[in-house]
Amino acid sequence: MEQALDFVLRHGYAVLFGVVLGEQLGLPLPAAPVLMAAGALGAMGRLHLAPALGLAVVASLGADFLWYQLGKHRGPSILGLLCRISLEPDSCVRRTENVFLRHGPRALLVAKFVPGLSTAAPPLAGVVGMSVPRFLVCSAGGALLWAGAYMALGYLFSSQLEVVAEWLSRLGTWLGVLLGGALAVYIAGKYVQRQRFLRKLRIARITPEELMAKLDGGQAVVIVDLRSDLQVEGEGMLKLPGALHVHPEELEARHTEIPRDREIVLYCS
Amino acid sequence: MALRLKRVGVTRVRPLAGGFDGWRERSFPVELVAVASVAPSPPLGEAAG
Repeated sequence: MEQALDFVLRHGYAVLFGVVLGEQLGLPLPAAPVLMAAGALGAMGRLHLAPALGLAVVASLGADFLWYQLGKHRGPSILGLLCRISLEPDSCVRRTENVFLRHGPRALLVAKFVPGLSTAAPPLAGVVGMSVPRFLVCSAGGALLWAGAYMALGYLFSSQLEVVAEWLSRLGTWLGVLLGGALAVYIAGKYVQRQRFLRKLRIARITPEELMAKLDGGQAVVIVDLRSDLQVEGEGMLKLPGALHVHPEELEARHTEIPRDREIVLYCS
Repeated sequence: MALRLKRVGVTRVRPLAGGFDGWRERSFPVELVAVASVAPSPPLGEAAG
């Protein structure tokens, strides 16, 4: 642990830049604690806060701009990719789109404080066609708020953090084992839960050929289109024949209108 | 979405494999979404065909 702290102190700026860049690109790195540590080190006079904050903003902006460009050139499919690697993919795309459509560019200012939205907001800005200058201004503002808030926390609580760091250093490698174990159990639990649900859905799903055969045969099938307005517009305002477009937000409110004695075929992408 | 429907008692839910993209890839028929439906929709009913 002592060696790790020595390493951080010697390479503080590089570590800060690398961790922030990696986390904003989507890697599971602890940027918030590192920013707080930078703030605490700044309070102790062992790190200059202005360049540290500048580096964090540049790293964050660089990662965001890359995702923005991916969203601009790849379209809505990039959100599907991001949400597939999320631990909560089912609601990921919808939640991201809703926040962005409701708040527009201001969503970028607070996105970094919202788990899941942080990585998804920049590509979505590209998907909806936000201009480059506006994106850069809003993204930089968001990065400044986010990095500044955590560094300020670290600065204000530097003495408490020093006590915690000393306590943690006494735990030594056991701490790493405990934290690593807890994180592994959490991720494994989410993975198992998702696999169980996916297995159930795989059994129930219908192929396009089967559905086409049912429609040709005149069988009574209710088809529900649950895509967002953004997705519908992206697909040229087209849908399956006879499908009824329902906004996901209305699903629970209108479920009594859905017949229980028919098969319901749904699609949301 | 399937899970949400099951929670409110709609159990005969069958997700379309491949979604809308999978349907289009097979060149199966499509139709235009009514402009009014890209907003809160009228009541649900049966599919044609």
